[in-house]
Amino acid sequence: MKNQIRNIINEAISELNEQLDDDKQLEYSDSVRLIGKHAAIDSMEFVTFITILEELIEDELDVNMKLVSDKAFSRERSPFLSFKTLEEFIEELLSKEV
Amino acid sequence: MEDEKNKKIILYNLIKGKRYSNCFIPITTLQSKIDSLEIIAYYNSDIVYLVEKKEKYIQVYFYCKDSNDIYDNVKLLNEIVNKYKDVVISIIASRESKITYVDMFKNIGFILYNTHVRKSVNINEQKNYRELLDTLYATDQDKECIESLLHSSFDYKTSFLPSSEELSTLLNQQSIIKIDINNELAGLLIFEDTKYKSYARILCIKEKYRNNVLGYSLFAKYFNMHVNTTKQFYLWVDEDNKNVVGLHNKFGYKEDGIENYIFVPETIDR
Repeated sequence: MKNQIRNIINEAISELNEQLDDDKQLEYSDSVRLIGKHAAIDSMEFVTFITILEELIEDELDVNMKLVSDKAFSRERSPFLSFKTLEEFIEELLSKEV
Repeated sequence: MEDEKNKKIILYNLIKGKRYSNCFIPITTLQSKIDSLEIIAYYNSDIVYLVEKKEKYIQVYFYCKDSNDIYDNVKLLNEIVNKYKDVVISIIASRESKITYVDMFKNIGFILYNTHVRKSVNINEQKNYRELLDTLYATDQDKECIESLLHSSFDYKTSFLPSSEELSTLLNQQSIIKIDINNELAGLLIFEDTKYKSYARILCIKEKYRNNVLGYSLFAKYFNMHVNTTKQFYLWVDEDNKNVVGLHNKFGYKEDGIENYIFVPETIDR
């Protein structure tokens, strides 16, 4: 499952990259911040990325998932901090689906 | 100082022919505030100063024929400054006139404390934004938390914060939307609508959630709410607040050259 989630995230990154300028291209890395002061993408790009990700999860895993919620935001460690934390978060949500 | 006559003042007669002013409040509203002593008038034949007691500062408006009247009657203004604490004079003008006003106020003992810039956007095509987080109308139950968040986030002199009474009105007319996280107020947007325009008055996010996602979600909701009714959108923002520039740009807001200059007596520390 972990590999599948990683692949979906990478696919979402590729799709987002098509909309980003050359100097803003993203790749899966633990140091890339998705939200906050040092975020690599702005709020609109974050929304786009999350939307792409949710669609891919639905298409490939047949799961309807809402990633952003007040519960997710209220966590001590934000799941949206990096690709890695997001990957762990998706894994956690999927385990609850089963 | 002629404030003791305040109750008998007919403002229209006092300001007749005095077109140089920093006040955009309708005269009927001003008159009723004078009648109820919310505004005190100080005046002579050249100039009228209206002193409005806000919750935490004193807003001063003037009416005269031209800027020379302000120089020539500086004694009256000094009396007001000495009588009240935290006097603020704000001027809404085009960016080109900033230097003129800074010089003028410097000559009467005031310094530029802050500049707010106006941004606007005209929406010509309907667009629906995705609302990432659930957004609700704030209610009376949120009032205390809203006041606390606003007062801990903004400089009360320059941020057009609503008074307690005004806040109740805004809550009643559903002009405040909010996002709760963990059942606590995390962010809010106060807006005001006229027939054709909407004005995003204050966006305020609790410090630990300032990552643009809440701001985005509130603006997304705000624009979606107005998609069928409003084409012109405005907001004012502190020119030093760089954190929201990206967010404003994303929704199409651009500076339109109108600015609000906030002056305070130079004896007051920033």
